[in-house]
Amino acid sequence: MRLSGLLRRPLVLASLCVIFGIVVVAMIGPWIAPWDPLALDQNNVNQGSSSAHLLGTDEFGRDILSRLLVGIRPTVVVALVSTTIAALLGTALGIVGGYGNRTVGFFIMRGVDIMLSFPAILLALLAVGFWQSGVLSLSIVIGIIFIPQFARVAQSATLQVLGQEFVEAEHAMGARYTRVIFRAILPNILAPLVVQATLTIAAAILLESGLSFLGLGIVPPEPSWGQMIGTARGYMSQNPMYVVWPSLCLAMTVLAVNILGDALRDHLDPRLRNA
Amino acid sequence: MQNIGAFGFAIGSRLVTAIVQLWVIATLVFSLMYIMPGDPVLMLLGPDSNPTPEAIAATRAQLGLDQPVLSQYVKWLGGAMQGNLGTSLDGYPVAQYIGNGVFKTLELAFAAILVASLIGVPLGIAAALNRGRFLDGLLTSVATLGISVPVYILGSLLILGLSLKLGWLPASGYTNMSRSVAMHFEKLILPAITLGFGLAASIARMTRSSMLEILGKDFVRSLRARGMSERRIVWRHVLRNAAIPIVTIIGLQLGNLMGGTVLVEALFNWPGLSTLLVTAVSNRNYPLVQGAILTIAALFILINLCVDLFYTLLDPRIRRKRA
Amino acid sequence: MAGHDVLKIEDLSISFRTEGTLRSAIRNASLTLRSGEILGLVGESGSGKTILSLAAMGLLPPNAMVTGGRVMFEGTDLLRAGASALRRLRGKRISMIFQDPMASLDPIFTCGDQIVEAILLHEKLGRRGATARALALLEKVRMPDPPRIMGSYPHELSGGQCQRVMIAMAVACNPDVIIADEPTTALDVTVQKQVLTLLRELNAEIGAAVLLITHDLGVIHEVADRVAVIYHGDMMEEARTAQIFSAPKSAYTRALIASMPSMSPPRTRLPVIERDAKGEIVSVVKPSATVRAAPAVTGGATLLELRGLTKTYTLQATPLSAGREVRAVDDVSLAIPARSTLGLVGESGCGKSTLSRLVMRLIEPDSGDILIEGQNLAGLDVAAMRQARRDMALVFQNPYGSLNPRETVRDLIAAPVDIHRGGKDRDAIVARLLDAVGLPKEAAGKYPHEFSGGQRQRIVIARALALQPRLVICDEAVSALDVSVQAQVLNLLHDLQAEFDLTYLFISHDMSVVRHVSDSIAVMQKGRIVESGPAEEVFERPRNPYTRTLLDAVPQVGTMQPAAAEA
Repeated sequence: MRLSGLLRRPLVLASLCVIFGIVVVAMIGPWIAPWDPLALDQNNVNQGSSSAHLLGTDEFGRDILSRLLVGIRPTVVVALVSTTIAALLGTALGIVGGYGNRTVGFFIMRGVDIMLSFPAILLALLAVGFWQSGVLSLSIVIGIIFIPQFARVAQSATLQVLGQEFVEAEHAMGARYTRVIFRAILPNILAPLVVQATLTIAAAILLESGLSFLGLGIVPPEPSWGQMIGTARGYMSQNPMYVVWPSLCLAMTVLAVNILGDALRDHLDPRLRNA
Repeated sequence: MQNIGAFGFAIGSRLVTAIVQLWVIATLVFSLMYIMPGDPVLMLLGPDSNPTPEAIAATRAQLGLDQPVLSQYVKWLGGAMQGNLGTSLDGYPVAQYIGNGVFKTLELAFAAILVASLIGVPLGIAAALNRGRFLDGLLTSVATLGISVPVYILGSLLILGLSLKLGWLPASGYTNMSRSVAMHFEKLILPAITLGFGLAASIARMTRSSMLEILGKDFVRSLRARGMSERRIVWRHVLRNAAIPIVTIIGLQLGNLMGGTVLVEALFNWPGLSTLLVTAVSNRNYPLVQGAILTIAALFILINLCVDLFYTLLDPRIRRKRA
Repeated sequence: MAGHDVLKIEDLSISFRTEGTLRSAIRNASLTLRSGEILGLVGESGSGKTILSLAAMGLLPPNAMVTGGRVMFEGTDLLRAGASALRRLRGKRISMIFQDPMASLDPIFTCGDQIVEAILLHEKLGRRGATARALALLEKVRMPDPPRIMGSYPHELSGGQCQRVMIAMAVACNPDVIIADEPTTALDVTVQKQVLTLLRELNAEIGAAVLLITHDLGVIHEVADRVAVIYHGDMMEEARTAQIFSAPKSAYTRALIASMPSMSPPRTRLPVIERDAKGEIVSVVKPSATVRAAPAVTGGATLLELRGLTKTYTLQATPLSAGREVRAVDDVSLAIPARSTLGLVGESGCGKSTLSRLVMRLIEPDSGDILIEGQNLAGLDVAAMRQARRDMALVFQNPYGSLNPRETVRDLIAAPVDIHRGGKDRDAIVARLLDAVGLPKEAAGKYPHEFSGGQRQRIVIARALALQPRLVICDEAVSALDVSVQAQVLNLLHDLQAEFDLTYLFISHDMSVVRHVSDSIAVMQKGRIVESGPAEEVFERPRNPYTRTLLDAVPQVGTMQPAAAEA
């Protein structure tokens, strides 16, 4: 699994830079924002770019650039926390579903099927619509929603590994289940899981911003990109660039993560590499 | 006739699975009222109001919550099977709201899938046949862009450009066919394209990888060794083999659109099922929420069922499985 | 005598482009195919024999580059012919049969559709005429019930039947040249015999020139008129078949023939192919590294005894229909004396692999006893069974699949020590085992993908020996290896038996390998042992009709050659 080849591709390198930049801004955003992102200014509402407000102001006269810089954080936190939740629980369920007791596995995978038979955004909508929203609850809800996808990937990868003779060799040597899981299965299903994690981060960003767009995610006045786009939609004729800036930021972020995920998949999946 | 028996069984068991799925979801939907935190009655009456015990009891009776849980469940399930989804909090039957929304969502979904297939499949084929060349790289990059741009961003930009700046198309809304057919379709174009673009990207990717997989098979080499032209190999053999996964993915995406249209419906004020659901959720209109979810799930399961049956018919390896 | 020259490969050199460098695959190869004659092209994996055949059809992969020479057919150079000219030749004048018949047919068209399509590509017959021709062709390749086959999809037929369909298509337009690339490698030995016979008869009938590519010298001996030997991209020699086997000219051919198990007396070390100090290829029989004598063959105490071992699977067309019981292993009783080798032979699907898993209880038997030195494994609980596996080891067929790709050789070999002894003395044990199987010490830090197939099998064997087991089960342990590598691994198993007092249950479909390694033999058919006894007796005086069929089907080297006898 040598990754140096990946770094030689300019697009991948650029994506990594974008992702790195976003993570950094998420950490230090509030300190580099030129204005207070919550400060209202009734005299400068829906302004275009100016030297004072580089990207203009919103419907309450708040600085759009500052709101963008601060609005990264909830998105990044939600994406990372929810992916971690989904990865840990999903992988565990998937391995049990593939390698564990047959009856237990059957019920796990049928449960996964039923959860997958709902569009993710609907589940999120329901959960967030009835619970209070906030970064933590969003993370948990989105994390739970992506568990089935992970479980699916982990289970099918596990089944593939189980079909190989080295697992049978472990059993023939008298290995215990824990050894088989941690020495034989887990290292060999890591590649698709890493890819799935990348794709989940992208999907979580889309889901969080989608909910915020609908007004069900991050609660105003705290800024978040999806919510800014949702609000800006109402002012497209007065300040067209208001909708463009957060859209551009969000699209760039998801694109960078997806390019990285695709590259990882091409690189890690030998079947696709030779295809 | 064991073959037909096995095939018939495959269909039968798939039907049973669909019915069980539907039942599980109906039960989950029913229990929504109980698993959601807080008393729905208090939430409904508003957290700030100080309702009298009589008002609470009246609302409780209106929702049917005064009866034992089991009898509520049986009543709800029985009603749902006959298409009676209860009464919305504003007094109208839930089924009437659903009936208003369901065809609008279906229309939008089919239009989007049509746009997506018409764009995605040919581009995917073109990319596969030009594998590793410039066209492939370009199409693959556009496809990655397509799956990365959230629909509401694309939609916002399209509205900004095509309707606000250029004034070519109406920005949003819905016009009944009976009022103006032209207007109806004009308003369908932007949301369908918005939804279809991202779908086209994933259909193109799927088409490309299925084509490449089939092109790499041994039998393609033996067709070449038999003196068949590349054109005939691609159009008759490779495409027909690749069609099975492609049709499947298109079908699955159509299923996902039942509910997956929510952002686009919100953006374009399209009065479909998802808009109904979002409104119902924000108004805490529980009966309406239940009805909308159940309908969306039922449509999804139905479409997936059709996809599976179609898939089974298309692939002789499944259709005529050796017993 | 053979007819006129049909296809000539002249001085052909091919290289592969890989990451900017050119890697030579074939150097200055020349071959002539004559009408009515079968030319065998024999070589081990990586010798370039398949590339040569693809070049002859103009089907080279895009990263292959012809660096010299030509392929002449009726005055045209196929390497430089245009696409449409090639298309007119392929399938009509030159046709090809591939190794994996099931994968070589389009899965979503019926066999009939595909044969008809193949005919209509080159003949103006009309659909009805083509259908009649297709039925006649199926008749010709001796398919039972041609109309049914016409309407069948490839997955509904067996491998041998699919290969007959491929052959039917190959001869559909009475071609001048047929190229068959390992046409029987994926088939059972009895089916192989039928397909080879068919190929020979069709060749006599239509008078085409056949290029038969194979790694199996036995197949060549059986059907080829002339033989060309290729080694690492170089043509070693070309001669009439009888001559190749009686008086091979090149050192490589001599060494290759010598390393076949059937050419040496049973239970001896096989000669291996090496290069001497001057870089010349030589065949050498090296004395065993160990000083201990070969173990006593008979009279030893019984190490493993199976009594009435049975495993039944229930196959159901649908979960509701009545299940059909398939006895994968049916009332099998066997006994293996300590320090001896029992060879278990049978065709694919006969249950021999299931049996090997039953012995270790990797699959639970329905009934029967498994006695190792009197201890019945069948009654042990999970923990006790885990302990009992210390005394047994399994060596698999596929050396690529049986090693975890994410572990170093050290961890792989030490695995049994880690499992049963908490890793005590693991480094010392690994070093000793690497030495015993003839791998360098540095191998310990490497990963499996850095080794060749033969070396990987050595790693698997080293791991099997880590806890000094009593019983080693070899399930097709050398089947995936080339003849020359196979000889090395068989020698290793031979030496280790003496050194570690091992008892082998040696499972294989290859009669000559089993004959070479076994003290006693058991023949398995449809889950039952149909014949067993001392190796010599079973091979020389088979009592069971199935054993006789099996032995007859094996291509023999060294007996009177059928082709030569006819001439």
